[in-house]
Amino acid sequence: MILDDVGHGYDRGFLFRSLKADLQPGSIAVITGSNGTGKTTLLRILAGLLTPREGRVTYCNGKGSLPISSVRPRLGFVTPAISLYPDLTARENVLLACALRGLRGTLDVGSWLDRLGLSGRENDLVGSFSLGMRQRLKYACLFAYSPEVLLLDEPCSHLDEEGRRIVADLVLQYRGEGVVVIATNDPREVQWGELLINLDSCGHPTKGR
Amino acid sequence: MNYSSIWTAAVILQKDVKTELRSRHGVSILILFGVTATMVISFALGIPDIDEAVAAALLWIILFFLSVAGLGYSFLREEEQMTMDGLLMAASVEGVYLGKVLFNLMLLLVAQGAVLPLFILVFNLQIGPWARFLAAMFFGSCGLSVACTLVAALVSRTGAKGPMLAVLAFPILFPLLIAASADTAAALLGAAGEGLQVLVLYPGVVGAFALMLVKFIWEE
Repeated sequence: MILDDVGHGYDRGFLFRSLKADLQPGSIAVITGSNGTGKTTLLRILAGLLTPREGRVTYCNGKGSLPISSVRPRLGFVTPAISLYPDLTARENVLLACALRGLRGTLDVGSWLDRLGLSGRENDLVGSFSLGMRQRLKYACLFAYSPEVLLLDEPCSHLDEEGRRIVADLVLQYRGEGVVVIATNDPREVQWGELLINLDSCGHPTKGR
Repeated sequence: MNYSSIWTAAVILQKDVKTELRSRHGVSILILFGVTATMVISFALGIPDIDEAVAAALLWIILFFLSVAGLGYSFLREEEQMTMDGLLMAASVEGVYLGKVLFNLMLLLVAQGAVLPLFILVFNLQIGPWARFLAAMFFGSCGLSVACTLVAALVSRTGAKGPMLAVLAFPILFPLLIAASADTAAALLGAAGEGLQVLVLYPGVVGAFALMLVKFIWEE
């Protein structure tokens, strides 16, 4: 994932400009910054849901750059701005996330729900879930289709200590498989990052940990 | 349009049917609107027998307003529940559009199943060739579904709500409504009519245009 002079903002000017980074598989980048500095906006740009006003984001494999439309289904984006379907059960939400990405056949939905501490609630409607349970289910949906890039916006919001530990384990285990980008101001989550992008200081990356 | 888009459309149709069967919001809006409008017109006119051309025009006016009242619902629900971006992350925009068109067509046909018999009964209509009448209703519904889904996608992305759908949909649907009224009147009279050609072509032309446009609506 290459960020090349990326800048974005709204009517009142730029939130961040000239952002450069080169993220290779196996790396974790953490975006920090005060409220309103553009952490979620930057994640939306990385997810291909927003076009930056300046610069560009490129996803490459060994052969060259890839169009964002083909990359998007391979990204895993957990953010408070994207919800689950409340009229579907937990199992149906996971199956839907996989089916939309073309995954069919026997998926091990139960084991992911179990790992996220949701066993026994597979057939309950998500509308009856607490915010913490919904956050856990988002991770079950995400890991069930094995994304190549994780984009996590406040990854542990609404989670209890056990939920935090489960998510931390999953994210740190995943690190060997792909790129992880986290937007957070929580000091415990900032510790996960090898590369820090602080949007308060115009987004120039520095080495983390 | 490729196999992946057709797969996506089938998955979205299945998901929307499942959630609709659990909530029944969309189909309730359509049937209630259709039944209420039919009964109000019937009481206002106060006559059981009306001219076939007037009956056909009234029927398509009801179907137009029923469509703009109900067919935007599935997109607005995605925006309100904050699930639209998740859908766009996972699947092709063409597949999402096609899935919503198929779901809206299904809603419209179910609603017509309730509204049409009432309309025919209340206005004491004698249908000429039934196949011709049903063909006009089916292809007209395809056109309504294709156009209203496109406009609903536009409206839902702007954050505007229901009334905008009627305002924007009317100019696009005008040729369809004229052809549908003329062809339905001809079917009621058992006369020859050329509206069916327009009704058959309209969903294809507007659908092809919509498939090119949806990328610009959803991919900034």
